[in-house]
Parts: sequence; structure tokens; C-alpha cells
Amino acid sequence: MANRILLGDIGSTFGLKVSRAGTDVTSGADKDMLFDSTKNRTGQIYGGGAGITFVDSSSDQEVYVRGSVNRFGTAFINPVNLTGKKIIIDGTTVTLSTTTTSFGVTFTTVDNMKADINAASISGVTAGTSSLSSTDKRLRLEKINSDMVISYPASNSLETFVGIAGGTYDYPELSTSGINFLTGGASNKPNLGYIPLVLLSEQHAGGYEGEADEIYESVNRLNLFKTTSSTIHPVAAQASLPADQSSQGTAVGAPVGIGRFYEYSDGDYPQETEMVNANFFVIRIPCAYGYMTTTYFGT
Amino acid sequence: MANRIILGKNTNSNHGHSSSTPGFGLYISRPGKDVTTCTADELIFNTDNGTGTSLGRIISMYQLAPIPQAGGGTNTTTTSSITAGNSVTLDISSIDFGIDFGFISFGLLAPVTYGSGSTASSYDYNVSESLETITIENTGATSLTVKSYVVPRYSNLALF
Repeated sequence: MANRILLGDIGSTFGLKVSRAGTDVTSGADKDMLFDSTKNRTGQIYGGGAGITFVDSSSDQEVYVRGSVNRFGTAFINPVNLTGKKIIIDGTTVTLSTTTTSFGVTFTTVDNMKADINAASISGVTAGTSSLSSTDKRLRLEKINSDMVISYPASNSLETFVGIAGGTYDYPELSTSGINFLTGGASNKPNLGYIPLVLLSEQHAGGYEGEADEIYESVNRLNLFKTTSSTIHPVAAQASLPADQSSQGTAVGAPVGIGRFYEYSDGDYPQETEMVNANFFVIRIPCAYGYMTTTYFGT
Repeated sequence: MANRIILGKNTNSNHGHSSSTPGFGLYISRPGKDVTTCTADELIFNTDNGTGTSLGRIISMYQLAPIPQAGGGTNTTTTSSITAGNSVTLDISSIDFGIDFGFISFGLLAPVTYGSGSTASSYDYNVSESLETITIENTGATSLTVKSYVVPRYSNLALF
């Protein structure tokens, strides 16, 4: 087994080194060190969040989750009878029982699931359908006022048939307020004095293309976000010129705006670009113009 | 030479501790900084949560966990090529994260060169905590490549 930890005299100085598995800490290269106290900064996690969702308007503050599995409402394309399959929403178990019969085939449609879930009258929860086409739909669950917790029993789980993962779905934050990673948790953290590096991943990613009011818009990356020394906000790219272009000369407007305000012409798919299920880590490393200097990275 | 490491009792008030309410853990200062007097930001390793008031939680290093690879073995990242309208699922259930909070996953679109008339690549990145899977759905009209990695989750709080 390789020597993995060196504490104390680490050569020309004193400190701590920890090597990756299989690498001898006394002879390993810098790139093979998991921790090296001769470096002035490390990728230490200062805070973070998981499953965070944002919306742009308080009127849109509701939990929204859309399944990832297409279900065809016809007897001719993959009809499946899901009677007895279960989903647990906020502690209430819904067992599917409603079916559709067509051309001698009995199967479960998304509308059948929607009827069973809504019949359970779970406080604040509404089931709906998200239409990809006239026959191809997905289950959509919405909740007002608070988080929604979804789970499945060990047997007869509905999860893989609807593509809605078990977990806690966050009641959305407002984009304009952002989320404060210093004060939002169980205990307050002091401001680091700089804008830190934030690593963030969200459900909807990649590019965006949309058309509304005869304006075609194409954005290569929709999953943009803005950080301050205490908050993160979802942002959207914008290429607008200042309102008074004549007085601004060749100046252009701000490159991004707070929130995700891309417009869609498809009303059935309205929240596809909003920041949903965002996971992020705040790393104790400065990442902003004016802060990536020896003041912060030096000794 | 500066004191660089405290392993055990820390009474440095800059870290939120004192003689009457000391912190306990592992603390390492930057080169040249005395760990017993330096500021919190001058610590390059700190098992507190940055406040000195929440010593029960250990702040962790940003460290990647293994992901099973197609064909066997594990690596810290995996690459998924997905054709338009289709999905791939990464099964992480065989990985033991040591604590029961599971993992936080990240998906990054491989660099795409866009030109006039290009169609944007887009995808949905869904995690199932119960199935311990990551499903990446190509929601665009062209094939794309997504690189994924996971980080062990050390708190079950929404904000930690």
C-alpha cells in the first residue's frame, strides 16, 4: 500500500500532503495530490445548495415537475396498463386504477394518471399533462405554497413509467432576489470579501431557440447564472441596444439580464428554460474581475 | 517559520473560536501565515463550516466520486453521446458514498461550434435520488455529447 499522508516535515517546509490512492505521497507529482498545504488556495467547499428552483414572477411561484417519459395516448403505440402502480406525493400514496380501453386494448394514459392523482386531493397539488403532440404526453405535477416531496414504494413503483424522480422539489425562489448562500442555510457564514467561484448544474442546459412575436432568438447557452459575494441568480443573455440608441452611439446594452425571460410560442412547454433543480457548490476561491490578484491568491 | 497546522483545539478568534468555546478539528493556514492568528480566509483547510458556530458539520474538499463506465471500471467523469430525442441513463447505485446523503451531479455540454443556421443543442439533466441514476435527455434536434461527474453530498439540507 502506498504512503498516502505526510504530516509535519514535508521536505523544505512543514505542512500536510495527501496523495491520491495508489500514489506515494513522498514521491508523487503535484497533480497526484488531493491536498497540498504548499498551495495558497484549495478547492474547499464553503457552502452550496441542491434542488433549487427559480422563477421570474411571484405569480409563477409554484413547484413544477414534468416527467421525462413520453406516453402515447393510443392503443397502437406502446400501450401499458399501469393499474396498481404507485406514486407517493407528500406522504399520500396514489395507486393507479383508471384506464382507457380502445380497439380492445386496455392501457393507462397520462390523462388517466392525472385523474387518479387529482382524485387523491393532496393539499396544493395538481396533476396535469404536458403535450408533446396530440397523442404523446407526459405527466406534470404542480404545487403551490411549499416544497413537494415525491417518493415511490419498493414494489409497484410508477417512477420509471413517468420519469419523475423521487426527491424533494423546491418551492421556487424569485430570480430577482436570488438565493443567499451565506444566510440561507442552517447557520450564517461570514462574507468572504470577494465573489467566490460557484460551480452550478441545473436541469435544463445547452442552447435555446425560440420564436415569439415574429422575433427569432437563438442562444448557444441558456444555463447562465450570475454570482455576487453572497447570492446567485439565473440570468438570460440579451443583445438589446440601449433604449436611446442615438445618444449611446455604438454602445450595446448589458450582456445579460436577471432571470430567464426567453419567450416561447409553445404554451405547453412554458418553463423549459427556467432554472430548475439547480445544484451548486461555493468554492473558497475568488472568481471575479479585480479579485484574482496576489491580494487574494498570494501569501 | 509560521505555525501552519492545528490538529485538535483551536482558540483563534478570527475563526470564531475562543478559549472558552474552542473549535476542534484540522486547520491549515496558507504558507507564511500563522494558523493561530490568521484570518478565516487565510486557512486553506478548515473542518469548521466557515462560521465557528456549526462544528458538527465538516466542510469538505471539492472532490469527484467514481462513475461506473460502459464496459467496466470507474472514472471520475463519463462521456455520453446522445442522439436527438433520446436519453441515456447513468447508474450510480453501485457506488458507496460513505454517508447516506447520496451525490450531487453535474452535466456539461461538450464544446459545440455554432455557425449560421446551426441548431442549438439542449438537454435535460435529471437525477433520481431513489434509483441513484442520472438520466440525460437530448431535447434538441441534433446529436450532442455531455460530460458528467458527481460529487458526494455531505448534507441533506437544501442550502448547506
